[in-house]
Order: sequence, then structure tokens, then C-alpha cells
Amino acid sequence: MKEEILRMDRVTRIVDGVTRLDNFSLHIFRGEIVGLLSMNDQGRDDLVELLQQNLPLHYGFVYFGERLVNSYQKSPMTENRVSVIDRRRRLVDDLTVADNVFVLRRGFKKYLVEPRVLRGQLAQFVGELDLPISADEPVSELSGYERCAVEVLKAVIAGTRLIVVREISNVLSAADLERFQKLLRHYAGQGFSFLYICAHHEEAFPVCDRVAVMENGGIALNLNRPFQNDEAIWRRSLDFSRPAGPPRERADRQPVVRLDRVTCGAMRALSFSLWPGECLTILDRSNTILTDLMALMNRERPPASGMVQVGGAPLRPGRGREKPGQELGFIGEDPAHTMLFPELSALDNLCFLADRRDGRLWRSPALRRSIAREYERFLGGAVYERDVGALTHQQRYDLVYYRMHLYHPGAVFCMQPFLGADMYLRHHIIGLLEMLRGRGVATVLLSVNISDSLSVADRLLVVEQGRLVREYRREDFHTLSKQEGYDPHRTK
Amino acid sequence: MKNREKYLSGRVRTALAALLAFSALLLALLAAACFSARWLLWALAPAALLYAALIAGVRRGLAAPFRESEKMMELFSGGYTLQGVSQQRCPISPATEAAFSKLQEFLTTNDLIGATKRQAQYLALQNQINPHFLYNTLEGIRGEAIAAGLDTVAQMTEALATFFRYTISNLENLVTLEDELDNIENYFLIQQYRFGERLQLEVVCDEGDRAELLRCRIPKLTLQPIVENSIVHGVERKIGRGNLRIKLEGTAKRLIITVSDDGLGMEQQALDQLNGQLAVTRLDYVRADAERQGGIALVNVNNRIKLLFGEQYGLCIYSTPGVGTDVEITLPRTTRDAKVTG
Repeated sequence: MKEEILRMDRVTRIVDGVTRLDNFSLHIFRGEIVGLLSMNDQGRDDLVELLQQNLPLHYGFVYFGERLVNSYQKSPMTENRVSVIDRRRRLVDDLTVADNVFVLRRGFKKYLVEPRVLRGQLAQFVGELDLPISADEPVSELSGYERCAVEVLKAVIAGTRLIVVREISNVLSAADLERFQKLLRHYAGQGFSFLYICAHHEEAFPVCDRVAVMENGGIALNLNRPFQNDEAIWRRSLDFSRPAGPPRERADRQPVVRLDRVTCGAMRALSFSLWPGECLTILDRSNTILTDLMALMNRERPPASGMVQVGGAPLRPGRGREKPGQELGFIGEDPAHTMLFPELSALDNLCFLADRRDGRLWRSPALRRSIAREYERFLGGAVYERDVGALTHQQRYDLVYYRMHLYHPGAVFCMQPFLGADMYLRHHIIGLLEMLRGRGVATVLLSVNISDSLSVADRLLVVEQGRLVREYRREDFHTLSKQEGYDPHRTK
Repeated sequence: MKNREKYLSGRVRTALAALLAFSALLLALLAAACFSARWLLWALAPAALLYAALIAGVRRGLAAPFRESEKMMELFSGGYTLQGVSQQRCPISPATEAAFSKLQEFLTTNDLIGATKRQAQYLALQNQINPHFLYNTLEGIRGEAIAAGLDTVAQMTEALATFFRYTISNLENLVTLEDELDNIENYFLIQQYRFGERLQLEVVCDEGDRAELLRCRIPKLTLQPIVENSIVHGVERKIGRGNLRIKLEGTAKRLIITVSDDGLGMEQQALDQLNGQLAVTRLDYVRADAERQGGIALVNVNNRIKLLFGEQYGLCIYSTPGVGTDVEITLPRTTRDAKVTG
């Protein structure tokens, strides 16, 4: 007989007149890892919220351990014992691992904390996981994988029966993800249950017992192990393929960006060249160099050794304006939230970097009106919006990428461009990157997993422990190993 | 506004708002009158506190339960719930509570279950054939076939007679899952004479649980209409081999049966329409003049389950065109027999 941990039965949740979850049904048994593949982001946040707290429902029933905890008749607003592991840091950085795991635990009632006892208890757990973590180590010094492992450990020790793992491949490198999935299987074997929310079935299939596909706030499809084919997924997926561009003649051209044996932070003698209009993906398998590379190219940090050239001239660190011909653009993680100024209008946000090209921009309303007219054909009426908060998520992305289109730098560095994006948004971002390529702007996609990046990339550099270990051209992508997160469907 | 006043709820709302406004006004006037004597203002403070407590009490004790009742009525009229309306936490009055209980009695006992049962019978016996005439004829054919040495025909006839005997007789009681699966195997045998190797069926479950699961009781003819649907709409029109899979899972309180096929699947629009019909309890499909739509058998099975066991049980369908369809049936786990009245 199976032990049911969670059952959501035809749950419909409406917030402010918008249906977030629509007739949503899902059950999870003890010791199961159930994948939830979200095709679009409708209801994804609400589901996690609803698992944690018994919020009002329009219709439906929620059971934990076969006990009704929430229904349309009565929503007690109580909290459920569910842990969530995602990008958000839920551990206290300044405390030790043992304090985070044992002391900051619901139900910890001791007045005196005995570090020796905690050390002994933690050693038992980390020993069986082969996790080299010291109980006295501050959490701030843990790597991404260790932090996630400690969060799982904390949930396990707290007796949480359902652990939600949400889009963890955005945080962990491919190698760490594999270790983390092993850890999940270990605890699933001990009777803990997991809901594994992710964007790609290639990530879910190796670790999950079952996979449910979520679309428009409801479950559209259920797949059971053994996952014999992924046709069912592809039938619901958008077409990410694109014809490969014609090979570029590079002999007489100068690279936009050139790194020659650069050491900076975690980077170790990294060399590569970026050509005009090229899309280069840098896969950091150990998740160590991305922020260093961003800081280097942003001129925030000088290289310890080696040479960086932009537009054929050395890049000088410092806060001043770039020299002509050395303009670079940067798009951070989740740009819809981090790269727009809410107090500025959509047009002012669009023009934000363009004043570096033309100093008259802010003095000349006529010039800005002209830009608005020109970009109306791309952005529609959104370009005239006074409040950027009123724009849709997709329109906000458009604004950030068309800002680069207007600024027209030699290269744009995008940090994890597909982070947290649903299938439709990922497809749209690929279109925006193609748009930049069409304008001759080179793009560098900095990523810890490559599943979507390869759809648009011309070249892939694989970096491990700060060193460049492999390079692939587009025509060689089919030779990529599965370890590198290769997804043949997206690059076919 | 005029339309709102038609209802008692609207009038009560207006009266309550007027009462609160009037008492607020009185309080304000008192405060104004006492303004010259400051010490009287202090005496008014408890009154103001009481007024705030009164508003909080009205909100919590009257407004919130009233909104809850309203929501329940809306869900009832939308077809989402039948039971909810008689299980309100705070009924409007003893008389309305009694009226809803009576309504519930009418709904759950005779007419609805009877209607779904008749529909099940109707679906099983599309042509309203006299059962005894049918059994006798089939037995006759079987005898002739054996006499002529046509063993296959004899086996097929026997399977058909067994199938009809199970289908037509004794729809009142719950049957064991084992009986229901035997009937499926019998039905499948008949279909295999038509499809041959093109059609495959497997029943999967944890071997440790099998014996216990097979003793569970479910309404008669729960599985057969679903399997028939899978064959007719899923596998029959598919080129190549079609696979049917019945997966049995049991928890402490529930029995979950999933019937999957790798047939043609359903288009999104048809699936949404069917799931919409399954989400609400509607019985207009049993009317003779009702417009015929696909999936009547599934809707009928779903309604029977909901009416017999409660709205938290029933069917859920997942389908992808070109890939297949899953029908998930959730039932209470019971080994006790019960008579289905009506």
C-alpha cells in the first residue's frame, strides 16, 4: 500500500479575478520524486505558495497525509510542513552550518546549545552523504551545491515530508546538479518526497519517478517512468530550432572582444575571441567565473594577468565612460525586474544608454519622439507607456533588449538570460537575441546550463574550475555529451 | 441598485450599513458635544472602542460567514458542488438549513443515481435488447458452433454471453475490483477477435498489494465504458499496434485506477470541454432530447462516482494528440458491499 503525502484535487485558485490554478490535480506518494514541468509560468508561484500555506481556494481540496487541510469550504490559513529550495537564500549566512540546521529549526526547545553534540549529530548526516562540510563552517563560505545540500539536510532533520526543489539548475552547474540529484534520490530512498519543478524534461527525466506537465495553471499531461519517449513533451513545445547561419569569413576581421590568457578572480588563463555578430555561449560547469567575467568586462576589476582587448584596443579598468568603439552592453539576471527604472517612462528606459552615443538626447524631446516613432514598430504602444510597472513581463524584456538595439554596442554580455523564464518567454528571448545578432551585435551568454542557449549559439566554450576545457562550433554541437546538458531537439 | 434591493441580502446590507453609519454619527455628535468638557471625551473613549469591536464583530461573525454561504450557493448553481450547500459552517437560518438538507436528500438518493444507473444500462445495451432472448440466442449459437467444430466461434460466443450477463444484471451493488477486471478481460477477448495482435492490454500494480486491491469494491461498470472509449476513440483509428494499460494504486483511504492508451489522443478543445463536464455535476446529458456529445460514458461514470461517494472522487483526463490519453479514476478504498439505491 502506498502512503500518500500530498493530494491536490481539482484545485482552482483565483486571485484578483485572475485564475492562477485551474482544475489542478496532483498526488505525491512517500519516497517519490515527482517532476513538474512548467510550460508557462501561470500558477507556478501560486502552487508553491499554496503548498506552504492553506490559502483560500475557489474550488478543490488539498490533503497532506490523507488529511484534508484546505478546501473551498474552509481555508484555515495554517502553514504546512513543506520546505522550498530555490534561488532564494534561506540559510543565515553569518551562522554556522550546525546552527542553521539544528538551532534554527521549528521545535528546537533547548536553552543551551551544545556545539559538540550538534557537531556529532551533523557528522552522522554528512558522513552518509559524503559531503565535506564542517559543522562550524559559516554558511557564507559554502559553495552553491553545499548550500543546497545543507538546505535539504535541514528539511530532512526538521522532518519535512515534502520538499519542493524549484528551478535548481539555474543555481547549480551541470556537474553539481548531477550530485544534487543523487542526493535527492538518496533521501527519496529513505521515504522523503520531492516535488521537482523545472523547465526542461531532460533535467527531470533522470531523477524523477513521474513527471507532470503543467500548462495554463493545470496539469496537461502525466508521464511515468520508464520515460520511453519525449514525443509527448515536444508536441506541447514550441519550435526552438533555427537554420544555422552561413559560415563567417573571419580572416580580415577584427574580434570585438579578445581575452588573452586572462587571470582574474576564479578565471585561470582564459582566452577567447568574440567576432562581430557572433553568439557565444560560455558554460561554466563549476559555476565560479561568471561574476568575475562580468566584473572584468564591466571594468570593475582589473585582470591579475593577461590582456583584454575590446574593439582592437586594451580595455582600461575604471569608472569613466568607455572609449569610442569600446562600448559593451550588459544584461543581468532577471532583467525585467533588475534593469528597468520604475520611476522612468518606457521611452526613457529605452533611451537610457543611448545618451552615450548622442549627448543631446535628454535635451531634445524631438529626438526622443523620433526614437519613439522608430521603435513603435518593434514595441508597439508600450513605448509610450508612462508606468513601466504596467507593462507585461514580455514587454519589459523587450524594453531591455531593444535598449541594447538602440545603444548598439559591439557586444552584449547576458548573465543567465533564460533564468526563471517559461517556455514562451524563452522562445521570445531567443527571438530578441536573434534581433541583436541581425543588427551585428555580438552576444555572450553566460550560463551554468546550456539547454536553451544552444538554440541561438554559434559557438560554445566549456569552462571548468576557471579554465577553458573545450570549444565547440555550431556544426559540432551534435557531438556534445549529455553531461554538458546537450539537448538535440533544441538545436536540430 | 434597485435590483439589489429585490433580495433580502441587499436589504440587510443596507440596513446594517445605515445602522453603523447612524451609530458613528451619534458617536461623532457626542464627541462634538463633549468637546468643551475634555474629561467627557475620555469617558467616550470606551464607547469608541466598543464601536470598533462591534464593527470587527459584524465583519467576522456576519459578513465573512455570509460571503462563505454566498460562495457555496454560487458553486452549487455552477454545478461544482452538491454536498457543500448542505454542509455550511454557518447556515442562514434553521429553516434554510432544513430546506437544503431536504434538497440534498432528494438529490443524492433517488433521481440522480437512478438516472446515472439507467444511463449506464442504456450505454451497455445501446439497442435495448431483451436479455433472456439474447442469452438464449447466444447459447444456441455456441451449441451449433461446438457441434460444427468451430471452437473459436464457441469461445467468442461464450465471452459475449458472459459479458452481457455481467453488464445487464444486478447493477445495484458494488462489485469487487477483481470482478470488474474479469469483465474487462472478457470484453477485451471479444475485441481481440476483431483487432487481433493489434490490441494489447496489461494490468499493472504492486504485486504485494494486488490481493488486497482486488478485494476493493467499486461501482459496477466503472472500467468497461472507459476501456471501450479508449479502444473506440483512441486505438481503433490508429495505424499500428495499440496498447491499453490499467494501473492500480492504493493508499490507506483511496483507490486510484489509471486507464492509459497510446492512441490518437484528444485535441485540446475537446479535452477542455470534457474536463469541464467532469468538473461539474450535470445531468442534462441523460435527457432524451439532449444534444448528443462525445464522452457521455465518461461523464456518466464520473457522476455516478461523485453521487455515490462524494465530490472529492471522480475522473480526471489527460490527453495529448498523437500520443495518447490517461483517465485517472479516484475512488474511496472500501471492501464493504453497499446497495446503490434508485
